[in-house]
Amino acid sequence: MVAIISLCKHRLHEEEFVKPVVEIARKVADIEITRVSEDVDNRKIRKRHKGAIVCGTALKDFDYLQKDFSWLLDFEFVLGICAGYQVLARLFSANISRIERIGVHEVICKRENPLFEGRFRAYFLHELALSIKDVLDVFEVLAVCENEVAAFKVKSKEFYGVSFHPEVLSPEIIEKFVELSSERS
Amino acid sequence: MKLCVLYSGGKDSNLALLKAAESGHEVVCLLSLKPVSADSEVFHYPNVELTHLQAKAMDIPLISVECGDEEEGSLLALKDGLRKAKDFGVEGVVTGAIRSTYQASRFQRICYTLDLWCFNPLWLRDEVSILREVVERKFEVVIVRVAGIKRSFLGRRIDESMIRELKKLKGYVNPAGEGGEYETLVLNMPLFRRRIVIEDFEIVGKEIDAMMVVKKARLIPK
Repeated sequence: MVAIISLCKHRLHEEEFVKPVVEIARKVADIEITRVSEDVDNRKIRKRHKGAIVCGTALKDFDYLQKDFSWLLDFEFVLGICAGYQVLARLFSANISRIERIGVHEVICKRENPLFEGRFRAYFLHELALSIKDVLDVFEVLAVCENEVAAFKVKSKEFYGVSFHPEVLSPEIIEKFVELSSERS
Repeated sequence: MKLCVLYSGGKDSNLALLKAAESGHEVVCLLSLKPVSADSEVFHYPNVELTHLQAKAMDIPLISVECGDEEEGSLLALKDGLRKAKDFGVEGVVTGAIRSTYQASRFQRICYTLDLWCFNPLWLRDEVSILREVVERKFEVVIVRVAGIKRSFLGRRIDESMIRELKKLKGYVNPAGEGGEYETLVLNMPLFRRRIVIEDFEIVGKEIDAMMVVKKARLIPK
């Protein structure tokens, strides 16, 4: 089972940022949805799931930046999407830069990894991301989009972050992550 | 939050509006763009005048803005309309966008520029599931424009048998019509306090690119 974690301040945004991820993940494994904005017992979630997908949220939604996500460290596998990517980056002390990107852009894979390869087009919707010049040694850069780290892996863990929304044009990334966390759990 | 719904009068913007209203937000106005000719690339246009009647049926104010055919003119009109919506205290915009990253990224960018929240509650929904939801939730929806599908579909209600027919065409037609293969008009849905009846109409256009122009319609009690 994989936990799908919503960072959305407004429930109406879950239709857009969480539900599509749920639909893709559900084809591969059982999933459970958790809202971070509610007072959830994170220990219980961790006991039930080895993998988690932290979904993105709206451009103007930054409430998640005020929350403590140290509980994510107990998962074996995490995929952070957009805002979820920022959560993971901050969890490992990365300096997030103001990089606005809205729309479809080309992503270039820079390092072999289990989720994607080559060049592909992806849908972006963010104003914060990791700049390639600021990457700490704790991260492996898996893909770039111009000056931005489009995907990273935390070296010491199976934690992946993608600054784009794979649910829009690259659903196979979500499917592969769910398969990966199911195979090794 | 006070919201404005980008409103074409078709099934997608009406379903998005219903979801916004049900989620606890307050829909304080609708924004409708009225292209000056029928070749607009970005917005859905047949019978756009009827949005006034639909807004009246819901007792929600409508901002109607004329726009040009070309993309730049349409987007400037959208920005202008959203500025007017801000006079209603609007903090966010709702659209019925389903899958077009072209439309979605443009709306997102405009909302970002105007410091507005952007909600797309139908985003990435399976097209057939939208048609089913519209039927299950007792929307009265008719097809008012076809482009690439049979002219005989004009005026047909969206119901289970219509969904089956549209599904058969799925290989080359987007069943929700978002690609412009067909356009719809909502005559009634749960937020309507009165329903619309069409009293006179005319079919114009060619076999596979035609439109049902409503010449006379009025509101009656539900």
